[in-house]
Amino acid sequence: MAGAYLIMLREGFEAALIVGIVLAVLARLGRRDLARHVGLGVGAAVVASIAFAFAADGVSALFEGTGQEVLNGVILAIAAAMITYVVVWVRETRKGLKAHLTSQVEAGAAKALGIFLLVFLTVFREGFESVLFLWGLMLAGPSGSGGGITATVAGAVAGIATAVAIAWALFAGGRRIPLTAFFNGTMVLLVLLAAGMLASAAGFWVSVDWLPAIEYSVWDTSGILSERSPLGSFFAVMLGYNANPSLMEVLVWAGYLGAVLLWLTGDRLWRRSPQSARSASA
Amino acid sequence: MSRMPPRPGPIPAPPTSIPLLTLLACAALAAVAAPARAAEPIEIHIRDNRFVPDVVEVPANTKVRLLVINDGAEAEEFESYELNREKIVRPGGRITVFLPPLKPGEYPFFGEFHPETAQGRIVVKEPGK
Repeated sequence: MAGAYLIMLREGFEAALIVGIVLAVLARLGRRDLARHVGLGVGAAVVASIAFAFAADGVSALFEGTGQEVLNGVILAIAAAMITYVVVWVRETRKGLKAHLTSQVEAGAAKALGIFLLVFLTVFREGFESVLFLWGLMLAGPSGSGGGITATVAGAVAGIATAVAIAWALFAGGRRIPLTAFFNGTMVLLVLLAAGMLASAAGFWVSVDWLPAIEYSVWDTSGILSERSPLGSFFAVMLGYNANPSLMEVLVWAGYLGAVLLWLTGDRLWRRSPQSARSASA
Repeated sequence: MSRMPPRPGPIPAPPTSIPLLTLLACAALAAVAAPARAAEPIEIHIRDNRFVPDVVEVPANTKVRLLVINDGAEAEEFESYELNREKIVRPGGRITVFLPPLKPGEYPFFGEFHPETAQGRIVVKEPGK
């Protein structure tokens, strides 16, 4: 029961966090009309996760038995791309440029699809991971750590409930945060989440030898802060903390953050240069 | 300090290209990163919620594949903090665990579902020692 509770708390929290951020951002952008796609994404993901349980054998058999890791990596990479897309969109919308206000109406379908995909992929990944693990726990036998089907299901439900409650509490508190601080905060959080997702996609591909590890273990801080501990798990989800990463994971993480930072500052530099040129000639 | 009126920035490339680029990157990766064929995998069986053998010697700085075969009637999860691996093995199922080139030392692993009995370790040794 404890195993099922903890796994659902962790996987559920990651999914609830993304869903919560997306809903809060939409509400504050005044785009509640898009919230329907969040609901659709969650619903489709729950159905797909359960369907996946029946297809799991087939998927695992792909790519010489590494299908699960490959799939995990692909889903994480696309979800990270969708987060990036949402961050770009929110930033452009916040700027309120006229050109973009028009294109925003035109590209409404793309936005809806992007949000649907982001929510669907995030919840689906956590969902199928959980389904596989819970399925394993149920089959782990009477001597196993699952403690039978009833205890596993009870633990899982309690875990999801706790995860949603924590995420809800975070966002209920977030309502009082001033608008600019709210958007800056959520965008930083989203970018960190995406960086962590990309790094763990790289981790999955390293684990099946699709990518070189380059250096197998850059640091090992699992003795100080294990990813299995509640606090370590929290940092792993929120900030992409990894107690024992390969160099490839570190490079992907830093590379993504570097690229986003460059995009943010590059945009600002571009904006400033014509002005400084003008003030210089004046 | 006088504020300059905001100038419209360049229209960024449509962000819709991001998902497409990711997919292309994944496909390219799959094409180039076909894993080099390693030597025969090392078999580890799971019987009565124990690993057989529970100590596996592998050469240092060499890619190795472990084939974990579950002969038992209960599911197990092969897990190692040190090796950063975590994978479920169904009853009667088998999984492949890819190990990167490792430095000499001991790397414990265990069965997450039966941690009291299912314990083992990989011993990495320099060849010829």
